[in-house]
Amino acid sequence: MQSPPPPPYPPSVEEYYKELLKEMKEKRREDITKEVPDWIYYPIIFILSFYAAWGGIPINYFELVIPFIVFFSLIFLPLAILRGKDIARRASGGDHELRKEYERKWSIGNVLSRIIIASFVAFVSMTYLYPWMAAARAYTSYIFLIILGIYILIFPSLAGRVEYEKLLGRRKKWGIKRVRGWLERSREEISTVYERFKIFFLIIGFALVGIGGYFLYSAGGFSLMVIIPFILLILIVSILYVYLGISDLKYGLPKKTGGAVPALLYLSILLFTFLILTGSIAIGAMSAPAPQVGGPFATGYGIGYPLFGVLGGMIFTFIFYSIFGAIIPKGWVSFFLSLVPTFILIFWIFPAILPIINIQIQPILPVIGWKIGWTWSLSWSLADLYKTLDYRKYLEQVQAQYETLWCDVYGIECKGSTPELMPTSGVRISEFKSYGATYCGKNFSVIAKIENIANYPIQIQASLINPYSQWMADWLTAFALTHWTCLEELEVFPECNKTLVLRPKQGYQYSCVTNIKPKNTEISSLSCVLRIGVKMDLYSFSRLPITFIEQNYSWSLQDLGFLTKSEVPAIVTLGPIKLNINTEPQPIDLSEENRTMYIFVSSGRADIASGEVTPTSYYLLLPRELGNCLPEGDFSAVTLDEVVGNCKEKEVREDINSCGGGDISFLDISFHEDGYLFFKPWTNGNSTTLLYVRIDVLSQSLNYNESKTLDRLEVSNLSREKIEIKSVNFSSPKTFLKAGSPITVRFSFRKGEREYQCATTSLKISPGTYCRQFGGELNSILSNLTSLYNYNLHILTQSPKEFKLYTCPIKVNKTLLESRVFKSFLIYAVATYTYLTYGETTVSCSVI
Amino acid sequence: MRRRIRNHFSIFFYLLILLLSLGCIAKEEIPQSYEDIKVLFAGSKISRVAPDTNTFVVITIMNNALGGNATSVIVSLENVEPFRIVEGGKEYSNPSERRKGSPYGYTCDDGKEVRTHCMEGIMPGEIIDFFWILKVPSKEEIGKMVYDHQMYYTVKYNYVAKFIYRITAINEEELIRGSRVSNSIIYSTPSPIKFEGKTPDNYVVFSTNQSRESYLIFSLSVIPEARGTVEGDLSITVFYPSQEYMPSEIENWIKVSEGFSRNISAIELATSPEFYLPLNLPPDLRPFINLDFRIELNYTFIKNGNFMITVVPIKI
Repeated sequence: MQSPPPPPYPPSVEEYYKELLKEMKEKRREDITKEVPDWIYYPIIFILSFYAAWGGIPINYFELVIPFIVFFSLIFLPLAILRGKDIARRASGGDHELRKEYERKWSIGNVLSRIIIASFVAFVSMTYLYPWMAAARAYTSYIFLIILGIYILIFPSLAGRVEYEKLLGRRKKWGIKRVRGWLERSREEISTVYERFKIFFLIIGFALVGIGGYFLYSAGGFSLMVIIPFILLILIVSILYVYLGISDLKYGLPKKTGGAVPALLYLSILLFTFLILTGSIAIGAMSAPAPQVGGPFATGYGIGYPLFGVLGGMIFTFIFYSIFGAIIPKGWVSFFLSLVPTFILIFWIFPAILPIINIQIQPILPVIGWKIGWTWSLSWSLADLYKTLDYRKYLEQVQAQYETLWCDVYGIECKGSTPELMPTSGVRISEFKSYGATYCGKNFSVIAKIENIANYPIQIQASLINPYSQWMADWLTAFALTHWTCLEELEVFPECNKTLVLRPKQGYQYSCVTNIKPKNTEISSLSCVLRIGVKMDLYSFSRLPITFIEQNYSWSLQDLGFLTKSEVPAIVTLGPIKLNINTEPQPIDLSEENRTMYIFVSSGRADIASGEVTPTSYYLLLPRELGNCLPEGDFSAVTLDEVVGNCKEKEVREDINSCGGGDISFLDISFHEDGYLFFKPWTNGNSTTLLYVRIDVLSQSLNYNESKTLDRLEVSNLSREKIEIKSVNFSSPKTFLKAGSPITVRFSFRKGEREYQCATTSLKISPGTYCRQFGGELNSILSNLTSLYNYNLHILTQSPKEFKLYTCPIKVNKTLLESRVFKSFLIYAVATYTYLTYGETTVSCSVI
Repeated sequence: MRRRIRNHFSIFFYLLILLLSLGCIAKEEIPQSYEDIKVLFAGSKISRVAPDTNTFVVITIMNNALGGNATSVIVSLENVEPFRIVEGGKEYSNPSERRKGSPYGYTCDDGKEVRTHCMEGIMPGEIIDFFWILKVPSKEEIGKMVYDHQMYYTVKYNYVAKFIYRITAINEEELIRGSRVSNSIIYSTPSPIKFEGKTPDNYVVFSTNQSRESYLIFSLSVIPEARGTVEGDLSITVFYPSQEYMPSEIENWIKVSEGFSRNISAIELATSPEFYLPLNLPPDLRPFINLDFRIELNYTFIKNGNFMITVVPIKI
């Protein structure tokens, strides 16, 4: 059948506008016949991503969505039942087909499904907005002013625009005929705009009632934590709701007629996005057992978790869902059907599989989200996805690593242990709990068991620390998210800082008193993450066997298929640092000629470790036969004495006796070049408590003058050996203080009602971290290798960085073989570093 | 009573079968045809050893009973360090030669390195253990971490392998009558060198009234499963059935009594070379003649292998 010829160009303006109106109606009809609006996929993806990425959130977490559903239903269901047809009639502008479409859209089922989806969006949004709501507590009035301002701006602007359009508009230069055309269109739109206002007014009305309710309740002490987020959420969601189309206003927005609404809506969405993103960072920072997600951008706690967790989860669910979502024709039944496989995966398969493989869901899902997301974003390969999903193999590898290294090497009984219970460093923190934290502002106790599981003594510094990394704390402060996040509320007493030496296998019961002081009493309860940090100086040790082969012999064996060269992996001691040594595929051919062979040393973070690691130095030990690293490499030869000297002799300790009326002494005072002051408080009388202990450290020659104050200091009368070592960290540039330089230390304190000032003592600055690292076991290994087994010690000539590859070129030739065909050497690399490991618990208290 | 005895007998019979099938039969070491010398065992009987202790490694070899004498058998360890060899109560870490003879009775150890043991000869069917006491590296030397050490060994020996290749020559009249013959190896000693013989066309044909000529064609190659190489030159001697079948001379071959001989380098052998030996066939009235060529290969063969020793630091 031949289509009719196009109508001739309308001779009159009136007919032209009629045609124009007809075209617009047809276009709108085409738009509306899409049964499922595109935007509907995004909240679904968002919800699922949230669930997949955040991980382990029990299903009842979503119970809170019910109030939203009830709330929106109360508004829109009556509207749909009572006024649905009327809205459709008005919105359609008299067009029969459009009216039918609108009636269908305003059917109860259609409205209900949109309500459910919008409720999820609202709920998830609220979760992300919590930190902002908390921040807003202190500025409640400003928030209300902003809200009211927005309303005031929206209201007259819209009303005014409608009015002037009804009154032929202001732009008279267009001419009357053109304005007539606009009028035709405006009449079409007025009915729609009218509906929009109606709904908008309704929401504003509810919001105003809510605000009024807040003022009423706040007088009675109702928690801001509930009201403010709720009201703000209603406002934001209502804006989104109206914009995105539950009232079909999406199709009625006068895009070309100007006005403040699109701009304001755009601004709201930008604001909303900003709030969600920053809020998600804050939530990520607060998520207690956030796993250490290795990767190019992950830095300790915080950003790696929310960013990669959420984004990875999002990418994953987007791809997974779109596989099913995209191929099914648009339609409500198809839409819900398309959700089924994704729901099965997220809510059924994941929770079903993960416990079987003995991993807690909570920490692993974000990792999975990240891994999957990262893999997909890099490769887009289904094979890689499945590889990523091979958790069991991954676990087996981790388990095997533990068993070969930790269990066999260090003699830990590993049978039946699960990886997450195994130690990743020399010290294990367990049973970290709080007691007596009922009311905020009252002191309560925290205890923890700290156990040295290494076979050498370790000096540790245990303290309660800020649950955020400095980086995260800075951001939270910048966003003013300091109250709700416990950044300022947690008060840590100086007694919580303890320095002690743990013997091998020795356990220590850590305890201290602390407090949570809420800054805002409008909240009813407060939960804070408490983190115990144990800082220690550790080392990682790795060994690589290098096998050389005579070149001709190698070739003949290779020709016969008896020899295949392969990379030999280095064995690495367990710990948060994986120090790797690599070289060429082995066995390595040697001929008469000298050639340069490269040894590579690099370190990475172990996937299973958490905490903060600061490498201090790398060392490389080569057998004497291999000679020294060539100067073009990153290592230079040193003697052990040059590195460590004699730390014991270099460490200068002094006592201050007979202070505070003659019975207080400060023994074994030593000040180290990394800013640490160690001492043992002692009394020859009864044990007592000193208040306000001030320690001044000054050096005229170094132009250094620092002081620190301790609120309290317990002084015992135990023997010198049994007294607990106290440490105070004087923050100072490390390069500034040099071992051997003179320094003066002065103690002053209050005992009872009186203040005392002790005599100053002069001592020399002791060597810093490296001396503590080189004590004990490491020292014995290195001295054995260098003296007994003739190893040449090399030190990295620059300050080490994680993940960076350092090289040591050496010259090799056939003489190494000593007339044989095969010979092996063992080479070693050592990384010394300070390691801060954490234990975490959550404390909740009621505000009184 | 009788039933109980029958039951016991059944159990006994079952155990006997089990023992025979799984125990004795499974553990019996039967050398393959390419194994003139077979390495029965190499390594340490204790696979995981403690640091700073003594352990021992043993390489057990057997001379195939179907072969000849193996002479100058030298068994050496390679890649010993960081283990050290202990001999006569003394630790040797560097290449060190023995000044005195072997304390273990190996016949030609004198003057050899301690990592090497030597026997002047091993009779067919004889089994010899070559063993070394090793000092395991200390905990410090291996960084107090589990250490898997791959040790290599070589077994070098002189051997003479023999083959008899029978060519059944056929009278041309018999051939016309429809008779057919074939050639085959009728005797061989075990050897890692594979001998394959053939003749041009399908048959060596002689005449009743005139002389004819033909060729013995054979190739040599090293069998890959033997896991070894020939060291130096391999000497091959081909003995003809009698003087009358021998040509006066063959290029590149040296005439010996009733045969020819030549050396083949290891590189040449690696290419599986083919050799043509002329064969004179004088007139003969017999319908068939069996021509038995005796081939002797004299070579020095080196077998390679490796084994693993794991040092586990003592648990604390």
